Amino acid sequence: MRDILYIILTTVLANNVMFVRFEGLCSFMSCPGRKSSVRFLTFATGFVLVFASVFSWIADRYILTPLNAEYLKTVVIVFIIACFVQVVDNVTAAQYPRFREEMGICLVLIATNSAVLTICLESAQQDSTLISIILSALGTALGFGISTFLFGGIREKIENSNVPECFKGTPATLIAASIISLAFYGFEGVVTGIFSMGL
Amino acid sequence: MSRKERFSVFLGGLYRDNPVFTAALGICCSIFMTYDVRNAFLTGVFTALTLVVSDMVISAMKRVIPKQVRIPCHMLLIFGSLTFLQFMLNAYFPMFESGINKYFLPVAVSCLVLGRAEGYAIKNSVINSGVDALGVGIGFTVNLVLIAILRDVLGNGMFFGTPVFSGNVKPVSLFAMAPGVLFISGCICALVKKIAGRKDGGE
Repeated sequence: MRDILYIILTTVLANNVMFVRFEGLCSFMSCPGRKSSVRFLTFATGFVLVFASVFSWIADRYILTPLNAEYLKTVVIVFIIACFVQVVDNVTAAQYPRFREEMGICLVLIATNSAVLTICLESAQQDSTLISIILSALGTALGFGISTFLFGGIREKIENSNVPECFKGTPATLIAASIISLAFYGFEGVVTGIFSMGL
Repeated sequence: MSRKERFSVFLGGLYRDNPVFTAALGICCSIFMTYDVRNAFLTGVFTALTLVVSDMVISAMKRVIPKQVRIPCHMLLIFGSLTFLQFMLNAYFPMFESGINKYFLPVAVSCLVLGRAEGYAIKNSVINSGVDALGVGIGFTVNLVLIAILRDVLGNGMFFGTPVFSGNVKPVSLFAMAPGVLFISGCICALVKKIAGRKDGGE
């Protein structure tokens, strides 16, 4: 129980995927600031994370290793991720055409989200088990969700407030992200502090 | 298309609707690769070359690739052009041999290449895509080098190896860390937006 709590606290706060490891910022930055589209992007990223990591594990264990083709690992994993992004894109186009119009290329950019790639590369290693990779994918998705949720609110505030003309949009978002990521650096000490006191 | 229109496509790629400045694409790459100026410059050049090759290939094949499976195809084409470039550079510029390989993955998954392929190359002609990609690549390189220089000056107090500050003035170590990169690139984006806005107003 204590370990699970520790893992959740570190992935969500101290080792947050977006503001401490700086992975997956691109697709979030190019997403429009509205709350509904941010939520949609988060769910899409979580879906791709979980399924692509499971499939990269399968591909590595049952196809690449028996064929001695480990040098193709990166290409195959990128291909798997791109396939799932395509699934998301096609489903969105069929079911939610409004979202697809609104979000532009930011759904497609999940394919180059480095958080997804890192998790998939980790899961395609010899010693990982299926349960552990599903858990780590879910943890990363949760961390991504928390940061997009927190930051989505701030982005909406920025869009409605009166910033200087040339700072409107991307520049103001970047500077806000810089300040928030400083705050997340502080969590590192808090989490290790709580657990060293003996919770 | 006349030379003047080509040039305006190039300028558009360079700063007016360069996704590096308008949508902060490639920000992951700028955070991880700007810890020194040489590294930033090489990353930028390699990305620019990849952009030109892959955008032209993708634009040439836009009628062949069905829309429903385009993302995996584009990723494979980008990987293919990267591998091609890697072999070419290793063959003709052997002094970079050990260096180029470490830029392979950051460039391959930088959002900029895929973003420009999806946003521009699939809608425009081959030559236009190449010209636009050249503009975007040069803009990205300038952006990376500028970030790296500012990071070095503000964060470490060094300008190409010479100390800038003297006496009691200490460098701000925040700028050597990743949040500093976000801050600097935010300021650069604002500056570019200001310049582009003035040009549009004058015309």
